[in-house]
Amino acid sequence: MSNTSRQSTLSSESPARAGGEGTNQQPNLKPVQVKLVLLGEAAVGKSSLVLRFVNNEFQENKEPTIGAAFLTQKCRLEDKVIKFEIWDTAGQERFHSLAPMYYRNAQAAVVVYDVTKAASLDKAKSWVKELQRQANPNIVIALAGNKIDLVQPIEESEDESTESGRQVPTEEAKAYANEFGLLFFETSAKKGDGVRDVFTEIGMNDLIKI
Amino acid sequence: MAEELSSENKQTEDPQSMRKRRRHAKFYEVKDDEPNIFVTPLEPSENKGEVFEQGLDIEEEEEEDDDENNSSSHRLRRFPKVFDLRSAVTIKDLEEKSGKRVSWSTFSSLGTLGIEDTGTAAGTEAILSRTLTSSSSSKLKNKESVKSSSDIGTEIQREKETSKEVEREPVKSIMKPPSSEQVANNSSITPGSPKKSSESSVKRIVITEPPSKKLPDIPVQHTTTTTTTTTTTTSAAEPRGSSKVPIKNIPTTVQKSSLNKPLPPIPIQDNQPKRPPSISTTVNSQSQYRSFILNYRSEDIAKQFCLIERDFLLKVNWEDLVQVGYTTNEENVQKTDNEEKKEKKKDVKGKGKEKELEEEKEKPRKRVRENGVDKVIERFNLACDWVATEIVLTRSLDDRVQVIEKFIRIAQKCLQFSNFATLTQILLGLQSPPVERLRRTWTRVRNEDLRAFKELSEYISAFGNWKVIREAMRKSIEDSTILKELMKQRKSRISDVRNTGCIPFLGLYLSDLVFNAAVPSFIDPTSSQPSTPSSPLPSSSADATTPLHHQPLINFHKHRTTATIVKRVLTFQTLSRGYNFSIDKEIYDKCYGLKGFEATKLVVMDLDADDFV
Repeated sequence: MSNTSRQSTLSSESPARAGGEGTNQQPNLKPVQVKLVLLGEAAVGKSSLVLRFVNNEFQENKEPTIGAAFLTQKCRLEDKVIKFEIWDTAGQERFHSLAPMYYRNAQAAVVVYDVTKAASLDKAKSWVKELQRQANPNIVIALAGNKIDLVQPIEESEDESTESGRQVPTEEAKAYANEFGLLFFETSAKKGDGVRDVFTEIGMNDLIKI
Repeated sequence: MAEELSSENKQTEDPQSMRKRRRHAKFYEVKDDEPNIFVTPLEPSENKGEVFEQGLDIEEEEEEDDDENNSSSHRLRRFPKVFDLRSAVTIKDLEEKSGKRVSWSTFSSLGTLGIEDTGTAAGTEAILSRTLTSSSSSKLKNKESVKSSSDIGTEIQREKETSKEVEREPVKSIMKPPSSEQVANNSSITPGSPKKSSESSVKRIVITEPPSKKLPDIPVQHTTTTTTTTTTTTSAAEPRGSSKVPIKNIPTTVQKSSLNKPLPPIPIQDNQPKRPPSISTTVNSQSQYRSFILNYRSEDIAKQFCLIERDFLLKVNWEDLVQVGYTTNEENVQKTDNEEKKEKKKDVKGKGKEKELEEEKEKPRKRVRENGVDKVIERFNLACDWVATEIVLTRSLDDRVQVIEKFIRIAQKCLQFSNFATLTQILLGLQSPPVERLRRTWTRVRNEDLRAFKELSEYISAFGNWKVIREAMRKSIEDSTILKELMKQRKSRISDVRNTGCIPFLGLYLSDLVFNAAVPSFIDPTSSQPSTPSSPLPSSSADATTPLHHQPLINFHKHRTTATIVKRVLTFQTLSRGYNFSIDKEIYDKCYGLKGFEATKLVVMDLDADDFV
């Protein structure tokens, strides 16, 4: 019942998006399919990140499909169009055996942590380790520190200092990312900061080829 | 003893295991004469003679094993050490103080102790493992480490039946991390035995104490055992939760400790990380590992899995589910709090409502920790690991191929029974990195089974939002419902013919719930659009100063969705009661008490496995 409705919504989404994209698309450019998996501790904002990315592209304001663990989004870059197949592992973090299925054959992975939670970076590191050991050797891995909105001053509430402090300094995470050859970003899924960059840079990476 | 053993052996279905047993039996018998073994004084036991026999057996085993196994050389090397130990301990002491069992186990323990190089002494380890397993299995059933000879025999039978258990246990014991508090007990070790080696061996064995995460249900035994010493403690202190048999004889000697140590059958995890190398050696030495699944019909196994998964599913209550989106991580709660706080700051009105709602949610979230959902997940992970472990631990290529084929067939049966939980577990196990890498093994799997596997794999593809399995689960709900109605009408026997049972892969719904939880609970009334995740409450709250119709709207769609998902799971719970299989205690227990190594640890072994054959 609900399943069917969900599926239909999902399937209807893709064509709609494709149509929206069509204007940007050059006729001779075939979209490159890129399988992208989102990993990270529970509650770091993986789903929000995807939803932000997907929704921003089109102003449809479509209600998010529930359980849309699999979303697609086209992304036009300088010389190519990339169609991201986004596999979101949200809600299944604790099913350890599922992860390999998600990142198998993935060309890109976004490992998300929460800048306000040091432990989430540790988990992110373990994901990176696992990916580098077991995933496709050419996988492009991006490390994304989410929720920077929580550590930025908020205009509306200038009177009050931010609630939660940053626990992961940008420099520290960046150094780690450099050491392991990861793309590095800090994002706010809530405000949209940096979200787009994550996907754009992944798409521009040399390892993502047609 | 020998007679008992042999008779027991006959019972076993598997010829291989029978052979094995017999061998063991011989060993045990032969060695009765040897006089000085370890000895630790103190606990009187009725069966003295048996103990000796067992010890002797061990030696012989080693010899035989040499012929069969590569590791034999290792064993030979160690023999001398064993003897040393024996010399230290007098037979009489053993007889007087320790029960038969004790002696047996002691032997094994002694052998271990004697071994200086744990890494190299694969053979010894194997032997130990066998003994341990046997002892451990016995322990499982009997609380006390010390058992009468008769007990041992019975235990052996059990072991034979569950050959897999036996083999696994050894591995576990080996794998256990060396460092343990219990080691301290070793001080009592008989002179002559190299302390280091003894300690290490002891530690391994002992380590089992920490309950394995994977097998939550099985009581973890705290065998503090100890080791080697004479006094050991049989103290019996080791309470095993599960032990059915009260301790009859408590031999204090080292033997006990060894027995106790092996007992913990399940706790594999704890040990693994510390000594991967030993693991591989162990595995290699055990060429006989045979999964129990080969001993039963796929259908019978699948049926028991249905019953087990049903029981786990029924532990889930809807409140757990409602909170899933928020509970997945404790941090989650904090996160929402923070967000809300910010929002509150921005908007007074919005804040108030949100706050209340949030607080209501949060309280229950925090108190929920160990709930049905957790158990299902735990079980799920364990089962996946178990599948991979069964395959990787099977040393012989032919057997391994058989195990894989068997799993595929069990998975088919599970699909037939609409048991999507076990289906996904098996498929994920088969696709796990440690198993997937066994290229040579996979090339030998029959085409027919490979084809089936490929088809089944569709069910665990997340593509299209798990389209295939969603559709299948939806259909099975419909079918079951229809069947149920038919049964009602006819009031009879369709139930006998077909099952209405159905078990979902819960992970899907958990995922849906989490995703849904990311949707805002309130909608900005100024936007004509339904809520998007990107439209945060704060904006709506900003307008709050305005009249009522500008206040945030409760996102009913979100909550309805939550309800829909929860109801779906409840429907499955109801349907899951529709299985009319009867419990086959033997298979059920085996399927319930699964043991498995995590994939990361299996990787170490799997290479060996493939290289080996």
